[in-house]
Amino acid sequence: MNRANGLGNIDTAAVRSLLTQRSFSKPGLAVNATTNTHTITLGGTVQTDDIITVTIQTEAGEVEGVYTVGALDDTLTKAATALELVVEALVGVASSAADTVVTVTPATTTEALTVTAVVTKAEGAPTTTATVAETIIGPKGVKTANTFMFGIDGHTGSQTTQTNVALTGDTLPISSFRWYLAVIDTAGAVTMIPSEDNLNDLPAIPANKAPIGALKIVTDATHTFIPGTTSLNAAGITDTYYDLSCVPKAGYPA
Amino acid sequence: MDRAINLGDIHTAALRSLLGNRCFTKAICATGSTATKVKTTTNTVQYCIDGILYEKAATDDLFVFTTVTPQPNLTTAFYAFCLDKNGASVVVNGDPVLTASIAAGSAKAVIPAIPDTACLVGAVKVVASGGAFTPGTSNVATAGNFTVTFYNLTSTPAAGHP
Repeated sequence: MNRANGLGNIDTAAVRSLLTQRSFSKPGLAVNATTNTHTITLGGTVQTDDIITVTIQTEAGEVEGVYTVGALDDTLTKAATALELVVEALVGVASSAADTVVTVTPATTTEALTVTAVVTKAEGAPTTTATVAETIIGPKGVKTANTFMFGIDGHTGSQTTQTNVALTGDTLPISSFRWYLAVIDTAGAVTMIPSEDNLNDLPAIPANKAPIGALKIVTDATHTFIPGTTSLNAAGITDTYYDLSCVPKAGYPA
Repeated sequence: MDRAINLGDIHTAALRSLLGNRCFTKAICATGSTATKVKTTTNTVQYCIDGILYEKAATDDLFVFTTVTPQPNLTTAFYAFCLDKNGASVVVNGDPVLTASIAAGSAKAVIPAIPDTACLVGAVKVVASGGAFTPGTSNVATAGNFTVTFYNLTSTPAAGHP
């Protein structure tokens, strides 16, 4: 045969998968070290007596700030500056204002927040709008700390450090565990695939992706874990990280 | 299948070992500052054991011989340099084979069996031609009675030796 031995010559699917979907150096999977950040962007037309209610779920509990647009706050920028003073006063929260945007972060950078803002008016319809966006997921997600090498179907690739990789899935109940398999695709995008709860088997690796790591999340007897909402640093949550070249013999990192 | 294909799906131990325990970077094994030991040079070694990735920075005097049975004069042997999951040295001594028998084609020296809990990253071939080589006591360097050749390995070659 005057052609190279190729992966197509491997007729056992398991062997072919383990040969072709691999990582070759440690990605350094870990909790995001970035600060969870939300923005509240004011829009529309600022109007006296519009009421902006900001509700923030901190890890210590819920706090709420109410700002009523005053007569002197006749521009969106002035309103944002005034709103920021209200938010800044909330326990467990830090904030800043620039132009029409109020930026909200947790006072402790390893924590996470959930932020909502609602605009109302005692009489009539408000004309100011407040749009909340989570711009940095912080410790609600994971990162890779290293430049690493991987292979998919015979092609090699490398990827630099990645941050803000989100976790998805249903709420993990108390006294439970779940695995997440970290995979990379040919374009270098890193995603996290959840396993079934309380099952020691990493989930199937999709075609054209390679495993790079795994995360095990365990909840204690009093805390649940809500992917995308709960900080991986939160009380009652145990997060353990592994860097993988392929999936171990036991089906998970034993 | 809702679960990932894993190394447990490979029922041939040799194949499972070759897939699950690999070294991915060149360790550059060489004589250590302490000449009875072996160092890794320049590169951080990336390797996996049972599919889990580990790394080990270049370290002087990393590999230390723990089995010190002398290799007789006029023999050739391979010594395998491995790392465990903690990055600690595991040296496995191969069986000495008469160098004359190797030359005659009637025997060969091979890399010894590696524990499942370690990853092969390199080896040294020692040819003793003027006296016994005592691991841990004799210098791992070509001089006088010994000829040594270092190899950097990702797995054991098909021939059983480099």
